[in-house]
Amino acid sequence: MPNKRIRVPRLRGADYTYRYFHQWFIVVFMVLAITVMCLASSSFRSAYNLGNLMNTCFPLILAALGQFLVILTAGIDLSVGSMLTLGNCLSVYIMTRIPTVPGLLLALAATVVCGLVCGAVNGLFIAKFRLPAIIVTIATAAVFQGTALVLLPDPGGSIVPALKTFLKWKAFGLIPVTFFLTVLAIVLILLLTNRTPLGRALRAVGGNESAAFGSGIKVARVKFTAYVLSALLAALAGLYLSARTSSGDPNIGSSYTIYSISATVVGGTMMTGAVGQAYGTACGAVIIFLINNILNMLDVSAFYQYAIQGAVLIFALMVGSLETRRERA
Amino acid sequence: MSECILQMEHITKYFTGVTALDDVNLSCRKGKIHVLAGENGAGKSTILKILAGVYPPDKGTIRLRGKEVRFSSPLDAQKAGIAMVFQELTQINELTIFENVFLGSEPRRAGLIDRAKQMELLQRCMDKYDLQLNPATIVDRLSVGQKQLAEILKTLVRDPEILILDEPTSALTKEEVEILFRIMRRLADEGKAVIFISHRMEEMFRIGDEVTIFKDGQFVDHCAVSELTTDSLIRKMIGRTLQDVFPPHCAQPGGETILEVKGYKLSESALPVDFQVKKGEIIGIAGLAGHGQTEFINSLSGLYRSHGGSITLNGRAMHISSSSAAVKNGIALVPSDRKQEGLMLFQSIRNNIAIGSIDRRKRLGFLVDNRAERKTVEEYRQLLKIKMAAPAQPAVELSGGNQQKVVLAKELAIQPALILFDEPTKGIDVGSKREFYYIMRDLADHGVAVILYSSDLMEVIGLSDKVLVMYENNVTAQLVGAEITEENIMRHAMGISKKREGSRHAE
Repeated sequence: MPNKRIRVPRLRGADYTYRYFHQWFIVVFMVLAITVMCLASSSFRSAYNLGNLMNTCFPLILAALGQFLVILTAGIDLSVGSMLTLGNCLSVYIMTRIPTVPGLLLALAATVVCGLVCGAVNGLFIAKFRLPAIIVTIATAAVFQGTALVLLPDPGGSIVPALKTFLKWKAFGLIPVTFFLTVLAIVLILLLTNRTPLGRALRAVGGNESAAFGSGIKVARVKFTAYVLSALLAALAGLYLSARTSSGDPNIGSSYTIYSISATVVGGTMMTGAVGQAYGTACGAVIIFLINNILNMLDVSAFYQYAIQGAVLIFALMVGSLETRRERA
Repeated sequence: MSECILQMEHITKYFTGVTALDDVNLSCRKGKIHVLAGENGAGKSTILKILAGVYPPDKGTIRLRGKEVRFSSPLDAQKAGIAMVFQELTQINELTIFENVFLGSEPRRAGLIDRAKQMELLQRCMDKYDLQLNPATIVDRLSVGQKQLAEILKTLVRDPEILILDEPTSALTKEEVEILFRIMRRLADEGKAVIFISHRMEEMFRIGDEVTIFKDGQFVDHCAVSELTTDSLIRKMIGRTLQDVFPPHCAQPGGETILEVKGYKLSESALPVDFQVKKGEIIGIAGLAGHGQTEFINSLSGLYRSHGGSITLNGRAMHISSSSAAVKNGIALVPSDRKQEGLMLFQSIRNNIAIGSIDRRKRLGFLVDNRAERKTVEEYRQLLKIKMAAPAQPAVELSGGNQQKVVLAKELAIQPALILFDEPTKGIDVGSKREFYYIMRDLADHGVAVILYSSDLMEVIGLSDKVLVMYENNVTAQLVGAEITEENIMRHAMGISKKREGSRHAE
């Protein structure tokens, strides 16, 4: 048989638009928004602020990528914010008591284990016992938040200096290490969701659970994995925040649950599952922070900011649902 | 004679007291296309689902290549080389054909999906069966027929020994049917066995090599297709006598017109239909599953949007845009699925009966009138002879027949001028069925327009004074009086009449 080169088919035309239009739209929108901000505001333009933007966005990008995996299965994780807080408080709790490099490693290991265990608890109740994800994650959010308060009742504590040094390092004195971490996270999630059987299973479960089951996919295991990864990413985001703020705070994650959902939805992921891309979510996270950044510069109070973010989420949901309706029409 | 690959013998299957299959046989030979024929409810899908491992048989044996097998799940059957294309599709709409085909069993390399390998397997399969589909198309964007072909592709890449196709052609265009038939013939030529269900006579005769006929869950005959004619096949499929379970037909035909429907279209491309319901008449709708009967009934009750036409009920023209508009205009529907659409299962019988008409019994304009409500419930309990412990009993505890009476009581409480029955006797016992028939007759005699759809042809024939037969979303015939016979209905329901008149579509 002649060795004919097999080409993997590419999506074209309307098929391409179906899957990628919203994704590219959001990337272009983000670039435009940053450009306009740079032109309009000298304070935003300064390198400090752009690097700062990257550092500020990173924990949300991590948490939102976790949320994205869960939403791909048509689920939701409302414990992301509390999980992030717990990761933050646990790591600071350990590093305050053992302020050495082994302490840092212990904190890292503990955060990872804590994320895995907490995610497994969510996954167990949702995937195995088939309880509704909204209620389970509200309940576990309270448990995680409570545990964080036990560990660290008031803001404070300290971290191992080596961690701070590592995160302050810049390649060529210009590109912050966070940049590499962001790229790494996005690439890993992209690979997972688009090139692995697990990724395809995540989308299949979100698209049509019974059809996925009929195709031989282990639905419960796939859902379980999604919640475990979500909690793990949130816990790592908490650890990163410890390093950035050099301390712990039992309220630090409170807004991350809604922000992570907003970022995912703004980034073009359907709440009904199956459709969405990791880079869209990451751009969504940046846009959420840009909005906050603009509001800060306009001197809008933090209370209004929170309210406005709620409106942003509703708006993004409306846009998504209009798009779906147009396609189905 | 080619080798017998599959023998199913003495298969019996019960579903909660109903015998779906009674000691039936089915055997298939390699290289043959085997047609399974019978009316709705004859047990065709049931035996195929047993073969595909969806249900276990209660009695009987399945032998594959002479060896007895037992399947505990569809996966078991798939591993044994039996693939079934189900009527309900099993693909993920948001993914591409390429992503769907190997879903759950992707070839992999180093943990990632080996897309080149997958494409190679897929391309080889598409070349072999000459199937033209772009694998990079999102399934959501395919037509129903293309989705069906993609579904078949999904089973073909798994290289089955026996391929089961349960009414695969109902959603296909003419060209797609040709593609499918070519694939089926190709499979047979390779020495595989194909089992095929269709309700289209011409298809059975064109593609089938052998045929097995079932009726009411019983085996009727097994022979070569060439030994049969359309007429002899129809006779074997139905051939039974009416029993004395039905009330007498309309005593005085030609009374005043209650419902008048003109230029009614179910879909944009459908042909407009006119019909009337006169006092004392029951109108039956007949057709093979999936030809638009349920949609037709639902469109009259505002649950499904029709494409134009005028409806006049008791001299009043009306526009049915929603189900609340239908209720306001005195149109009631007894839905086909009482547990999903008819009842609040875990609430009391009283709540269930009262909910539809609650606005008609208000005190001070906004309070529920408990006394009137109790009276209404009691009234229908006696009228319909609902057997219950007390009105406070949850509906879920009643038998199927009594549950259906509760649904009917709820609908009657709105005092309808037109009542629609969608499969009213599904899953209820023979005694309750008979009661229902007399209730329907009684309603008609009292001047309520009654329209009934049932997949049980006997019921439609036994009750109706006029039958509207549907084929491909069109009313293709209106039969009255002596014209209402099983043969006549089946002919129109299979679109044969159209062909004889030489006006088959797309020609």
